[in-house]
Amino acid sequence: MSSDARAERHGSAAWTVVGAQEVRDLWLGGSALLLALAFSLLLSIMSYLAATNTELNFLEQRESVSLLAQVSIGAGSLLALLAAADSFSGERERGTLESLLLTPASRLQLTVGKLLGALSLWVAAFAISIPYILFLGRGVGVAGDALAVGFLLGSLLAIFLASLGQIISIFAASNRVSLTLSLFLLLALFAPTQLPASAEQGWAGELLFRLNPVTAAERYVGRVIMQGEAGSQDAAWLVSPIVAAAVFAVVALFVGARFLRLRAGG
Amino acid sequence: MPVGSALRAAIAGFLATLVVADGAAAASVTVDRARVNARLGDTFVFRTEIANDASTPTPALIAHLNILSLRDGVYVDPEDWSSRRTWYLGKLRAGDNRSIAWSVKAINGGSYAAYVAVLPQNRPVRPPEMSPTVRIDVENRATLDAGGILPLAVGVPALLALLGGGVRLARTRR
Repeated sequence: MSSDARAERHGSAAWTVVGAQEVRDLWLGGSALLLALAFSLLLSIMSYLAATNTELNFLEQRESVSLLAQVSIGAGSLLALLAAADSFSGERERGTLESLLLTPASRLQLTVGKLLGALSLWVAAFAISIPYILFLGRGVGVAGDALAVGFLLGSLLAIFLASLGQIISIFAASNRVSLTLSLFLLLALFAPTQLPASAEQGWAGELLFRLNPVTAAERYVGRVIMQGEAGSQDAAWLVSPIVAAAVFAVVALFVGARFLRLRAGG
Repeated sequence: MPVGSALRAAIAGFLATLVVADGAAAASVTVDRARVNARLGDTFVFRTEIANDASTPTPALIAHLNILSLRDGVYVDPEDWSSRRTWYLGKLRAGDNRSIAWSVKAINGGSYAAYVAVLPQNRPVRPPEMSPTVRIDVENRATLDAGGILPLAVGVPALLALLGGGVRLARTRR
């Protein structure tokens, strides 16, 4: 039975069919395995340097775990963004969007399915990061906290960034435009993480760091892993990632349901 | 007596005073603590207050932080410990004072001493006056044991490469 036929028989669950097909396309025929391999190489290099390089090994073990968790979250959510940015503009460019729109699945269900497919890259990235975090965190009792807070914040950021990428992909006429714009916005969001710590001082600096979901998530993860517990003051850093994930997911679904259509050339 | 007041009284009791004399003008140099306990990599701040207790202005003053190890054989590069070690204070009017916050990062484990030298800017031939010493005890922290990292660093990517190769092979055969 084809995916379309299954979707027709189980209309309400069409998004699961679309999602499953998207996951198959990404992982069996697409670039997801290659991206996962590149991600694991990145974590391997980071972990090896943290363990053997004199300068990096100077870091206290908690700092090493925090560094790796933050890299995992950043790179993992980047993978989700890349997949989402390709979701509809890629179909449009390959000339397959028309046949996709002709399936019994509604546009909302297509959007949900595509979003879930993109998020599968984050889930895989998190699974890959588990042995590295367990290794770096052994003996200091922070691995559990790092994994829990990493999964929570990474999932929020992945939903936020994948939704952002999908919104762009829905409107973009080509994959090049979609990927370029998505990566530019991602860089803009990550840029403040490179600012010196002194930039966070003062109300304007702190407000910028708290409003930006990426910097807020990075700060929260760092604080929880370094301090070993999440205080009520630190919990305020969660607001921005939660709001961004919820708002952008809703907007992506709305935009997909209302504005997903064929354009000139595809 | 509340704990906070007792602490303040203890610190105030410790405060020592030195004098940077320049004719009739004089400046006193105090530090806000005698001892700091830190962990390797921690950043902490201690303060000095330079006050002109005389009735005339001081000359332009310079305050400079120095750090040394109390144990032989431990190399200390003060630049690594504090990125800003020199403050140009200018003149202090009669009764005026300047507070300086010295930000210090604990770079190595062990016992160290920090002190601030205050000297007149225009007459550097005069010996500088030293603040009371702040003793810094830095607790060593466990860094990562590298044993076992290589199999992990190689194994995970190798496993994914095998998986990718297997998937590609299966699709080709199909």
